[in-house]
Amino acid sequence: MDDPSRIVQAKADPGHNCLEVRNLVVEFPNRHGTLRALDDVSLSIRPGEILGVVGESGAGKSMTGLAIQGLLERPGRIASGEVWLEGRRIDGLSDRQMEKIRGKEIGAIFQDPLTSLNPLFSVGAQLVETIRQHMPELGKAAARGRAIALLKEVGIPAPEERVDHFPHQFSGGMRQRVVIALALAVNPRLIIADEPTTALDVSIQAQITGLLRRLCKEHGTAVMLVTHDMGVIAETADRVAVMYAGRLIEIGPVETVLKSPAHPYTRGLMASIPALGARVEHLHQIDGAMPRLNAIPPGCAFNPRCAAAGPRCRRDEPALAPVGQGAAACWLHEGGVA
Amino acid sequence: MLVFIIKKLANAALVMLAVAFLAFMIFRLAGDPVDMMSTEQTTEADRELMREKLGLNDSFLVQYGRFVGNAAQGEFGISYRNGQEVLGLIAERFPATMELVLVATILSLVVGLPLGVLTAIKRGKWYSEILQFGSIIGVSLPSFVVGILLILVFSVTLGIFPAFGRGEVVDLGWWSTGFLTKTGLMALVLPSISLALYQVTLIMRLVRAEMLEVMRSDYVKFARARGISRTKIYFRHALRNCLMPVVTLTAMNIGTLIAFALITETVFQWPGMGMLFIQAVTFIDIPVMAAYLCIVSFIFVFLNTMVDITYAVIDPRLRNAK
Repeated sequence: MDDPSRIVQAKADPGHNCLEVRNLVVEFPNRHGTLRALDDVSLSIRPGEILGVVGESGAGKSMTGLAIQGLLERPGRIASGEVWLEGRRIDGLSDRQMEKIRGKEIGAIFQDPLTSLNPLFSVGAQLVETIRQHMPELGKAAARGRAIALLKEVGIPAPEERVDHFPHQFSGGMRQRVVIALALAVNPRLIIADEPTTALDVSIQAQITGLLRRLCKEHGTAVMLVTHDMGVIAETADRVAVMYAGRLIEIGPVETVLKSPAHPYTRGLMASIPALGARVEHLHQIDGAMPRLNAIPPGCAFNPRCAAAGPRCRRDEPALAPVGQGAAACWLHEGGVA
Repeated sequence: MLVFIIKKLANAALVMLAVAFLAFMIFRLAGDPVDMMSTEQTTEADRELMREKLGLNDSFLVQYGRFVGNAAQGEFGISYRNGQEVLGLIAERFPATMELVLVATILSLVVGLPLGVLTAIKRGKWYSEILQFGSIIGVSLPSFVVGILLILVFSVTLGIFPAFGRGEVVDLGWWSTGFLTKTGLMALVLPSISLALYQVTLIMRLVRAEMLEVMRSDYVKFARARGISRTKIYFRHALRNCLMPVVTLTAMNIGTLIAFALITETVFQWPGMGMLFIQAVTFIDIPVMAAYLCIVSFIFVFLNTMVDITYAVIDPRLRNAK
């Protein structure tokens, strides 16, 4: 079932990137001008690596995932930048060409398992559909066998029986397992998981993230895990990318970013997570709100909310520069804010 | 599933009993039937005898029960107007209306569904906009205007299709069909188009609205993210989710068409049930009206039950409905 050549390849060249996004800019033209939803985003993920992408709503996390999959809704478009998957450039491909990549090379997991499965088809039918779409050489019986094996792999009990059941006959957690099975159906190289646990009970969340992590390590699949839940990031991700107002402002190994964040915004994010057991009078918060896309201030997008901001922050936009083991876009680490 | 069907059938039977009650009441409200049948010379003893013979002295419930029993066997009595069996009168007219409605319904689905899908997925293209605009005209034109226009163009000016009547019919048992002769088929064209035009535009607009709604749903987006081709998404995932309201609308429309095809039937002099009903109303022919009420209601109830069962076939979530 597994493609052995891929595993070998991944092991032989551990340094190569499965996904590489370079200077990605996504724009939404409208009557009043052009909104820049993503501004110069660069990131990469190695095979078997889980990159967590965090940020507030509207920071561009999901947008990055959609842009990679070629699923931006009109009039949104990639204005500049490049997306490379396994050494092949995939931005600017036609929709027909992207259909061959989506599902086959890039699996997707959506936020709400209650709505991401079509209620009128059995889970088996949806699995078989995906499998045969990308492996037309597989017969119906073989595809069904694969579907059952997938359900078993994601931990659904009695998969031979459950394969013919309809989505409404599964619980939320079980449905998300089915969605994961769908994402893994033809062994993609990359999975983009957009808030995969947000809609689930807390007790189920850990199971699902654990499952995702185990499967990715086993299959050598790269994962882009979009979430706003720092707990999920801490448990699951290998590296973290922090986004703010359509920009990538910090990226680095998960321990570094969580324990000693370099960017003031990341520091604020970490400080606003209440520590277990410690009761405090006031919860920490970052004052202000993320600017709307049509009102991003000049200089660093975070400067109006930043306690450490200086004149330079209001003048020039900082670029991502190496800090320790990671990188951050902040003048504090690039010669001061003055 | 079986329990579900039995439940639906029981519901249907209950509704039919209520309708039969209404039809039964028409007779009673119309006065004493003995008065209508007797003359001034009839003695009180004769009248009493007639009452006994007709079962009018039985209790209300017994009479109602007898009416239902007879109706279930198709016994609706004798027409006041021409003394013929009511059932025979209706059976004579029923095939004409049924065939017209059938053709119109098929036409509206075959044309309306694809047009609805097309205008939804090609939204903004010039031909979608034209269709969308044209559908407003279709919805707002009354069917008798359409019928008269069709007659004017295709019968009077071009002389392609007949302007009235059913053409030659072939009898298959008690069913007379126009499907088997050339004139019969030609005669069907104009009335079915004028009957179907409104339905086409209605179904097209409904499917379009539903498609646009479904295309925004998560499972369609997820299907796209799984790499399912657009064609499959449109016709497998999206269209099937649009079918529920279409089934409802179509079934309701079949009932409406049967009951109210009388305008089209009048324009095209179509010898269907609509014409029969108009005549019955004119002559206060109560047995015919009661039978018409029962039969039309039966068709509605039958279609509704079929719709409920079709729902369960389309949507697995309804199969275990309690």
